[in-house]
Amino acid sequence: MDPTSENTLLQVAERTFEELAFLIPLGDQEAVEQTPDRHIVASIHFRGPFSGTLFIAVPTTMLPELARNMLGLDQDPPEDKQLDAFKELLNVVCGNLLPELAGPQALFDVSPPQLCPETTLPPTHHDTPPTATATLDLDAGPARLALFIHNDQT
Amino acid sequence: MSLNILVVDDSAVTRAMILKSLRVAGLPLGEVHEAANGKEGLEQLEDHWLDLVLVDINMPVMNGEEMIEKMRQNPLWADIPIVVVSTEGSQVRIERLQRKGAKFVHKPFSPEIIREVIQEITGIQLQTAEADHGPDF
Repeated sequence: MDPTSENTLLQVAERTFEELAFLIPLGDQEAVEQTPDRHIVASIHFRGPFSGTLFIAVPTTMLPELARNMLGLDQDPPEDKQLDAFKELLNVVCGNLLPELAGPQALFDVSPPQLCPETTLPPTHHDTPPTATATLDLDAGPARLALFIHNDQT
Repeated sequence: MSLNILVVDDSAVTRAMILKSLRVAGLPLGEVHEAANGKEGLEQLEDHWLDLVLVDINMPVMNGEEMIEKMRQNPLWADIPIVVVSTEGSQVRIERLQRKGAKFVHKPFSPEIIREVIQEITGIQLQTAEADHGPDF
């Protein structure tokens, strides 16, 4: 794994969770090991100076809070809105990550984010190990991200 | 004076966040129309008189850049103010959109940013205290 990309992924993810969904990662001392029942995974593909996929996995119990915070609601929105909010969060992470990795002049085509049937992050994608991974410890459990760059053209 | 607006984004949640920001920013909203991609956006333009269009870039069916291009080619729509609300980070693409007269708001955004950009592009004067303390979206 690339330590620079890993650090950038963590910083961008932390910033996005905080600014978009008001979810602030717990400090090391506060984080507790949790094993939530179920996780949900989404992915987003990008093509440009390099191509790849960014995955995110969060506990399903995080979705209502995520959507409530993003929409500024007091009550849980319906499930379709919760899933849409989750995908939009990934979209914003990816959109902010790519220029940090490739520079402000790089042009990328980014596909719409999609929900995945898996419930854990894939260990490889297109036979490639992750370029970077990051974990954010949040109140509702861990948010895990994995970045796969599978054809570096730079 | 109220503004008839069109919000074009493939995410219903993002459209809702943008609309909430516009309200928090104190924008005098008239008719509010929504579309999930550029093609639907152009159809809304055919059917309604609009004062302001907020559009995402990466969308299925027709992306925002293509929609803006088609708007600028149509004399009826060529002068409608456009604000791009996107995660787009490429300076090349942002400058290309700015050359077409569009303003750019980067996600995540705050109501204050939305207010500033809309004031700048429409010349409308907004009055609100709430926007100064509003959350980021």
